[in-house]
Amino acid sequence: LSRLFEITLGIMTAVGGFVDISELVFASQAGSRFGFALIWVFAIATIGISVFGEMSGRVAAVAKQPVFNLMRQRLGVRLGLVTLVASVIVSTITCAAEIGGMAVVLQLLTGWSYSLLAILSTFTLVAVIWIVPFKGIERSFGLLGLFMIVFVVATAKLDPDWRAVAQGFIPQIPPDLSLRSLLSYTYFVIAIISAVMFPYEAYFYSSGGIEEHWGPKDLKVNLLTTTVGFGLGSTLAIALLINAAILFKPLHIGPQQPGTVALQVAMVFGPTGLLLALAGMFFAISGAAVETGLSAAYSIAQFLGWPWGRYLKPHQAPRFTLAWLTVFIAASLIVLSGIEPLELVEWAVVFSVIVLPLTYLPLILIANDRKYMNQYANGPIANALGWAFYAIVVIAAIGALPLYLATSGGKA
Amino acid sequence: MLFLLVSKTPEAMPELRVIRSLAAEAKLNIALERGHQVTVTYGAEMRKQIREKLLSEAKNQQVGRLATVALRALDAKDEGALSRVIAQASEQLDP
Repeated sequence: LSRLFEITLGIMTAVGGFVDISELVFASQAGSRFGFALIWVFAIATIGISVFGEMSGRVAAVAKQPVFNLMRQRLGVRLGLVTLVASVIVSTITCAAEIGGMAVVLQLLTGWSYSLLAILSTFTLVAVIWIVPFKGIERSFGLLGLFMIVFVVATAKLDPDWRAVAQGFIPQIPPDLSLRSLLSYTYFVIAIISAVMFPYEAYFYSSGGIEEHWGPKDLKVNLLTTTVGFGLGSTLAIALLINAAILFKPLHIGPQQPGTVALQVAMVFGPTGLLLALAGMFFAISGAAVETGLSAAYSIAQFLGWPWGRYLKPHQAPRFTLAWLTVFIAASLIVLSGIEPLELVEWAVVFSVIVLPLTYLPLILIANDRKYMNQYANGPIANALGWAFYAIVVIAAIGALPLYLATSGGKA
Repeated sequence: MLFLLVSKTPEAMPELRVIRSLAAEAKLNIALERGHQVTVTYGAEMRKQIREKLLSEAKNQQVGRLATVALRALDAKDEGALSRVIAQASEQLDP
């Protein structure tokens, strides 16, 4: 019974922790611009993150190797170092976007100054990471993020044309798009893939497996968390897209403020719904801020071979502790510099997709290596899916920057 | 190549799409405030955030005039004027 409880809790944590500020923004903008036509990208990208998430968890459980250890071994020091620097920059920018998002949501709730709230948010995150054990951090933010379910309830209340929603799951290019709109559509495809498959998710997930001392007995939990948990989590993102298609598209709203997303629920359930939506957004974004900040520190410590992990006391892993403190300070300074969270999200998404191929290549290679993985190495299905999604992220990485520049971040 | 393709298309600037959305967000927010569908703090803060963005768009030479009109409409909580901004932007975006 306790095993079942553990599995259920793990799945619920994965659901509540699935959405972050980039998905909030891109799902809403995608729905308001292209209706249901981009649902399929969320579905495919969710399968992608499930495949790589399962692989990273399995490698952590069996080979006891986090992603950045593998990177140094498989890519060599030079290319590994390039990936490390790029990943830390991307994770720090993403962390800044999440802290900015937290401050925006708190500002909408309290009316206090944005800068003050950004500083308070950073202090709170640092205090929580310092005091609460790893499992407590992961569980509390994940479970509180379940407030986001209010967006799914709003979708049910809106009762969309379910046949049209189902058609959105079929890969498509909407007819009658101008060239500019077609390029923007393609940009959104890449941005959604990147937002769902952010590299920090693999770093955090596999590092978490090692923090929690996973072994082969945990492989079932790993499989269920990455398939059922991530799958259900993506319904939150898809609900955001559907609501935006129904409520925002006819009004020509392509949310330019993270706070506008909460109106999806306010329009259906009034002020109580609005407060629940803001609570869900706040906890989902806070959880992502913790994950991105810690991921950057995990990456550095694992690559350089430092003692790392929240299961160690700060004085037992001083360089790791200094690394995550530095990341949070840097992220809050970026926020205080005045760059808007949405701008940071766009940068994070574009640069993340460029890092993705370097993140996932060593993972597939190790997951295939029977010397490390024994009987737990990739089977033919995991292999086929792994390489198929690897090809997708390589294509996305090549197209990301030119499309971002050509479409002004999908606004063209 | 992509830039050449984009530059040859007649559709208007991304800034126009941003202004249209900001005007639409402002109009929706004002309507929900009137109907007590959002909290007082949320309504006021959203208007403040939209105002800041419109102010920054108002500096743009190509679309600054429309952003200024939207800004005045937002300050006056004039839903009609915001509708006209949305319509004007739409005419240029989807002729």
